[in-house]
Amino acid sequence: MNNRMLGIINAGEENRKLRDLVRSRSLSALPVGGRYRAVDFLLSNMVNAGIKNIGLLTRRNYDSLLSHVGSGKAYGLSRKNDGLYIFPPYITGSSPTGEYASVMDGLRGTLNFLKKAKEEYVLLGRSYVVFNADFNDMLKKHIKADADITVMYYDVTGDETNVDFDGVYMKTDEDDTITNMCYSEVKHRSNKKNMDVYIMKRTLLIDLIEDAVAHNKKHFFFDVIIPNFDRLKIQGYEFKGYVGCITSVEAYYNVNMDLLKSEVTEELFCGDRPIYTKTADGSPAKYGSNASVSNSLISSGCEINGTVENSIIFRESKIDEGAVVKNSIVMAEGFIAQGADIDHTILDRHVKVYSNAHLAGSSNHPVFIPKGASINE
Amino acid sequence: MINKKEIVAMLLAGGQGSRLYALTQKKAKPAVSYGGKYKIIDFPLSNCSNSGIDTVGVLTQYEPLELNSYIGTGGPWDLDSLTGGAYVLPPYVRGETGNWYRGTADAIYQNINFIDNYDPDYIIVLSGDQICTMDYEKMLQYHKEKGADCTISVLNVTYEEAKRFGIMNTDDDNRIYEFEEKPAEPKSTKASMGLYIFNYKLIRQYLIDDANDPDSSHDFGMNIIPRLLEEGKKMYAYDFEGYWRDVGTIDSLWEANMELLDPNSPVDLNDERMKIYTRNYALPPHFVTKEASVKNSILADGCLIEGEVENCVIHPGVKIGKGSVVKNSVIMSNTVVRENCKIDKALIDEEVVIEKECTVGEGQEVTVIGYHSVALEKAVVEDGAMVYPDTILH
Repeated sequence: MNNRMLGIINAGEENRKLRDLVRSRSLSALPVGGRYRAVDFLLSNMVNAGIKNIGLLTRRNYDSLLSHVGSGKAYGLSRKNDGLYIFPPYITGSSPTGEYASVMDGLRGTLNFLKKAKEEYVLLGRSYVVFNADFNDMLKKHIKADADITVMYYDVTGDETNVDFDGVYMKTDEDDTITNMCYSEVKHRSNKKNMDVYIMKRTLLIDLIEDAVAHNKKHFFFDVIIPNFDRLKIQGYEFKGYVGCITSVEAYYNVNMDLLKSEVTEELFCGDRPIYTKTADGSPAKYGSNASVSNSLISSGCEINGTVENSIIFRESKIDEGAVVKNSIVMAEGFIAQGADIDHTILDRHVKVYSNAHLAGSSNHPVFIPKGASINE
Repeated sequence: MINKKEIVAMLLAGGQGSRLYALTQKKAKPAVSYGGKYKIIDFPLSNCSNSGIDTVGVLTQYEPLELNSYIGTGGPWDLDSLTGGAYVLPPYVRGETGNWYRGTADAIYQNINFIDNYDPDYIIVLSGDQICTMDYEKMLQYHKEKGADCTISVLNVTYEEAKRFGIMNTDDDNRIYEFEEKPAEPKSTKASMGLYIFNYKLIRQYLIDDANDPDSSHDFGMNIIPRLLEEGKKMYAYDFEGYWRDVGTIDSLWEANMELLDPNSPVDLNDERMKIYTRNYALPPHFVTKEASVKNSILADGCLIEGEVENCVIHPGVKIGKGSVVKNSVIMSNTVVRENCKIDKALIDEEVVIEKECTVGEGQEVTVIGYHSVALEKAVVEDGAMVYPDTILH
C-alpha cells in the first residue's frame, strides 16, 4: 500500500513521428504486445507500487483511451475512495483555450485534484514507455537523497530499439545528482536519457504549475525544469530494466519485436509485478492442423491456420491456411487470406488482406496499413 | 425493502462429481477446468448474464473454497450490478438446528429467505455441472406462453441413451403427462436436463411441504416433479436448443474438450451473442518459440510452448519444454512440462510439474494426473492411470 504517492499520467502527448498510428487514437492507446495498450505499462507500474489515486490527462483522440481504461476496474482503480480520475480538455471553465494549449495548461486542469489530495508525493509520467519499474524503490531513493525532483533515466549505450534519439540527456555526479541536462535531437555525448518519469512533493508540483500558469509557461522541461535547475535539487534514478520508447513508427515496430525475446517478455510480464489490461473475454486461440507458428506471440480469440513467424498477432485475428505472416504486427481483428503474404508489415485494427496480396517492408521501414483498410491483389 | 425481480436463478453448484475422481478431490465439479480457459460453472453464469438474469444464488456445499473465491461478487460475468449480483449460498446454521443440503430441492428450500428478498414471479433452477449454452429468456418466454406451472428443459437423446435418463412423456402440445426415471422401454426420448423454471409462489409451498416430509429424499427429479405431476399441475417440456455436453466422467470430459478441436465443432465459444465469460488473469499472450510446433490445438494466454503440441487443449500459464511431445491431451492452468517428455491422451490438472524425460500415457485410455502432483525425472505414468492430487511420481 502506498498512501504517500499519487500518480499523474500525461496521456496528451503528441508525436508526429508516429504518423498514422496516432491518427485515430492517442499514443497512450496504441496497441502493444498482442493485448496491451501503451498506457497499461505506466498505469500498472503505478498500481503495483500501491498508488491508488491516479489522474489521467487526455488531450486529443482519446476515445480509444477512455474506452480502454474505463472506470479503471481492470487495474483495481474503480474504488469508492480515490481511483482513476480522467482530465479531458474543457474540464475547467476557466481555460482560455479550451483544448489544452500545452502540457502545463493541461496540468493546470489537475490543480484542484492535486490540492484536494492527501498524498505527500506525486509521480508524474508519460505513457509512451514500455517498462516494468518499481516506483516504490524510486520514491525511497528520492526521500533518501532529500531531492526536490527525481528523474528516471536509462542508459542508451548499445540501445538499438529506441531508434529516436531526440530527448533530454543528463549528466550526474557520483551520487546520481543531476549536474547537467540538455535537449538533443541526435545521439548525445551523455548516454543517460530521461524517461519522463518524475517524483516530487505534491506541494512543489502545485507551486510549479501555478507559477507556469501565471507566466504563461508551456513546456514542462524547457519552461519549468530548466529555469529552476539551479534552485532545485534534481536527482537521477537509473532504471536498469528493459526500456521500449514508442517514439516513431520504426520504434513502435522494434519495441513490439523486442517482446519476442524471452528475456524481455519474462521481465515485463512474468515477475511479481503484473501488467494489467482490459480483457475482451475472447476464447483461447485455435490452431488448425496445418498451422505453422514459430517465435510469435498469439492472443486469445485468434484462429491460426497458416504460417506465422516472428510476429505478434493481436486478439480475434484470423490467419487462413496458405497465408504467410512474417516479422509483422497484426492488430486486433485482422484477417489474412489464403495466398496472401505479409513481411515487415504493421496492420492496424480490422485490416483485411485478401488472396494473393503481398506486402513487404523492412525493419527500418515497415509497411503500415491503416485501420479498417482492405488490401486486394 | 423488496427489490422485485421477475426471475431469480438458483444454481446448484454443490455437486461432488465423484466420477471425475482425482480432478474433484480438492474442488467441486463446477470448478473443474474445461476448454482452454473456462470452468464448468462459467457456462450457467454466462448464460444468466446473456439471458438478462442478474440475480443468481450459487448453492455450494462440497469443497466450496475455490468456487467461493472464484465467483466473488460475479464481476467477470457482469453480474455485479446495482440491484442484482451473484451470491454464494452455502448451508448455514439457523436457530438451534442447521443442515447440510439434503438434496437439490432442500438446497432451494433452505434459501427461501434469499429468494423471498426478490419477490420473484419465477425461479429457474440450474445445474452447475454441465457444459451448456442456452438462452434462458427464450425458455421463460415459452413458460409464460404455455401458462405453465413448471417447465423442464429436455434434451432429445437416442432411444438407447433414453434408458439412462429421466424421461418426460409428453402429449402433442409438449405437456408432460408422465415422468419415468431410467425406463427399460422408453416411450419418449425427451431427457430431463435438471433445468427447471417454476412459478415461485407454487413451488415455494411444495418445497416447504417436501422439507417436512421425512420420507422424501428432497430431490427435484425424485420427489418434487412427480408430486407436481400427481397433482395435475401444468408441466411442459421445453425442447433445448444449444450446445450441451455431459462432462461427468473422465472420458466424457476428455471427449468434450477434444470436440472443441474439430473444425466442424458445433460450438463457437467466441460467439458474440452467447459469449462465455470467465475470470481473467493478467497474463501476456502465449508465446510459441522457434523450436515449437503447434497443430490442431487450443492455447490460452500466458503459455510458453517450446515443444510439440498436437490435438491439445492448453489452459493459461502452461509451459511445455523443448523436445517434449504432447498429444491428444488437456493440460490445465500453470502446469509445467519440462524437456523431452512424451504425453499422450492425458488430463493433467492445475499446478502439476512433469520433470524431464517423463512418459505419461500411451494414447489408449485417458491418463489423469491430479492437482499439484510432481512426476520426477524419467517417471513413467502408465496408460489409463489415475493419479490423485499431491502425488510424487517416480
